[in-house]
Amino acid sequence: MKVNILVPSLLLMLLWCSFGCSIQAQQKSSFIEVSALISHFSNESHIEIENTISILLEQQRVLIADNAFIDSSYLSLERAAHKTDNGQLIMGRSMELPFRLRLIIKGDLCFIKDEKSGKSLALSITQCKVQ
Amino acid sequence: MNSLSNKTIAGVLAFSFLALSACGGGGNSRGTNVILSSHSVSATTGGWLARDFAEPSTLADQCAANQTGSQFTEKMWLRSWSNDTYLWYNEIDDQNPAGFGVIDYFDELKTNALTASGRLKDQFHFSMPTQEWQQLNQSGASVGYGINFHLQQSDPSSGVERKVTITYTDPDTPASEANIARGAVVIDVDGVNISAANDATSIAALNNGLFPATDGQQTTFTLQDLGQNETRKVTLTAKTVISTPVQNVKTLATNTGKVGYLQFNSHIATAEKGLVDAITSLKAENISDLILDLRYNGGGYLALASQLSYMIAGDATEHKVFEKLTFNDKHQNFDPVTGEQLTSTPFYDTSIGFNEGLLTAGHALPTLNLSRVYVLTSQNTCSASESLMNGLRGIDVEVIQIGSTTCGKPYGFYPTPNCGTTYFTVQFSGENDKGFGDYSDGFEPTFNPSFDSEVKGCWVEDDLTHALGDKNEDLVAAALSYRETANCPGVQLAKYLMGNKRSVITQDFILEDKRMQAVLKNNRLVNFTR
Repeated sequence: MKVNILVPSLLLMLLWCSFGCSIQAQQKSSFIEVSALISHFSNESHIEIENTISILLEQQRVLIADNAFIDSSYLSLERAAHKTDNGQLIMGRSMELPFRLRLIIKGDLCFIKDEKSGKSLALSITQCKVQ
Repeated sequence: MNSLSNKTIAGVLAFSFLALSACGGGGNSRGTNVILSSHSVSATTGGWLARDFAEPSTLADQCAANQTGSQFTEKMWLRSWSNDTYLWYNEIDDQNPAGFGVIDYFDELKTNALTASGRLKDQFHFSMPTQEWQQLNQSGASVGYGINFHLQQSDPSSGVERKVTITYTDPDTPASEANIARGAVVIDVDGVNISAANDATSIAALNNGLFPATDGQQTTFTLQDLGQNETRKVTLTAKTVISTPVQNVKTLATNTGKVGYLQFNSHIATAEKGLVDAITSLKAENISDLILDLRYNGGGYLALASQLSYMIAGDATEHKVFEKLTFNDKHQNFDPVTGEQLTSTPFYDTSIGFNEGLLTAGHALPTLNLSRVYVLTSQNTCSASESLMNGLRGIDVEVIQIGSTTCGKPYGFYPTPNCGTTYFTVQFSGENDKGFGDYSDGFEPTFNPSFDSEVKGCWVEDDLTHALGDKNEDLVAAALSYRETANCPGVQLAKYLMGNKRSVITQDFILEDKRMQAVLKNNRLVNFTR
């Protein structure tokens, strides 16, 4: 008797779970990354992007130009050109590669993604459009 | 029935578990927050004992500022780290750290040996606050006007006046929009005369105006444009500008074929696409020789130097090494920082994708397949630019050097942070395919080379009275002349001797761009926690 009650309950749970999964699958498909561009430039957006990159890459300060993510969804960032007191670059022989970022849309949100680590952070002020 | 029911239950449970597991996999699709790595704190070690070195890792991140350690542990880490990775570790005088500040002690942890010309072998020993080091700029971005200056310092002993001349400007910047061009002389800055300034306040005002640090800063210049008797006033507003590392690509017609010219100012990410475009267009022009202008190129990404070398030499690079890195004799097989097996840098023949918005990785690079290249140099030609010259010489490409002696930096390092300061100590040197890398006095253009660091060519002083790439500009003219006659312009010898005369400059009154000098070794700030 208990078995007779338990089986429908489990089947119901499975049905619920399958339904939940299908919702998540739909959400997941809508979270496919799409390369993006900034649709509207503003100073607030500019500051948000600099701050978000700073957090994403764990770096103290970030400087971007007004054209960042305007014409291309990709952005390369490098160490600031620190120089010695006689004007020579300190890192004149760099073995690093630049930090490479991409502006993407996932769902309804705009993200900045670090192409190396795969980490991304959402932007709340910046308005994006599909590239 | 029961048995069947139990199987059914088991099956349903198993399926439910799998389904739930799958559901779980669909979550967390939002942005991932950065997690700061934790670090363990080792116990403070005992006192200093000469030539007794602890493993650097046992002393790392034990800092005075946050009381995880002390200045003593910071100095002991520097000592052990230097003993492990410094290229000339066995030339360090192992001094007791007691009585030294942390940065003062770091300054002691280097060789005092001299090069053949008598200058210090290690002039590349730096430190700076990690906060300063951790500034990232969009490739080529900086705050300014888009102007590069030649600064002639005042030298009363030889009657030389202070003078500021424009060397080049970048396109689409406040400078280019104001029609400022190479050869223009800056007479005054916000009313302060360049040559007459003789007190600290005036010098500070000049430095502030020439090298703005903040977006929106307005500065009024009085300029004398090249070839003009009259001066003009120009007010420029500083902003974030983007430099153009590859400029002025052109062909120069001669009686013996076309000669390509290419101004390459910096090994930055955006240069990859610029170089590919430049070489593609020069190849289409079917040039027979190339003049590569590196006079203002202080280096950057070494891989770009390798790529450009391939684009110049092509087939000659096959099965050859662009550069071999050599660490100290404790690390002959493995990189002490990355732990990876030591391998040579090849001549890269495909794109790397430094800036994927401009050029993605994996595309075959164009090549000119030249067996000879004319390289224009100055004392600002440094590091990766010198590697390019050395790499080509290593595969018997004839490098003809026109200009002045390069800076002499065949060395490199991995910036290493500890307790809020990032340290730069020489850890490796680079050698070409022939095993040569000893050019710490720079590459010197010489008509009759005697040593490996002397390069066949002509000593010619930078000519600020002509546009870059102009056939009448002294370096370009010398390259074209040498190509025709295999001789150097005679008039340059006297200038060479004058140029090598030692000058006496009042250090308090020098013009310099301090925006990115980051206090360096004079810094004393250590109260920053990573």
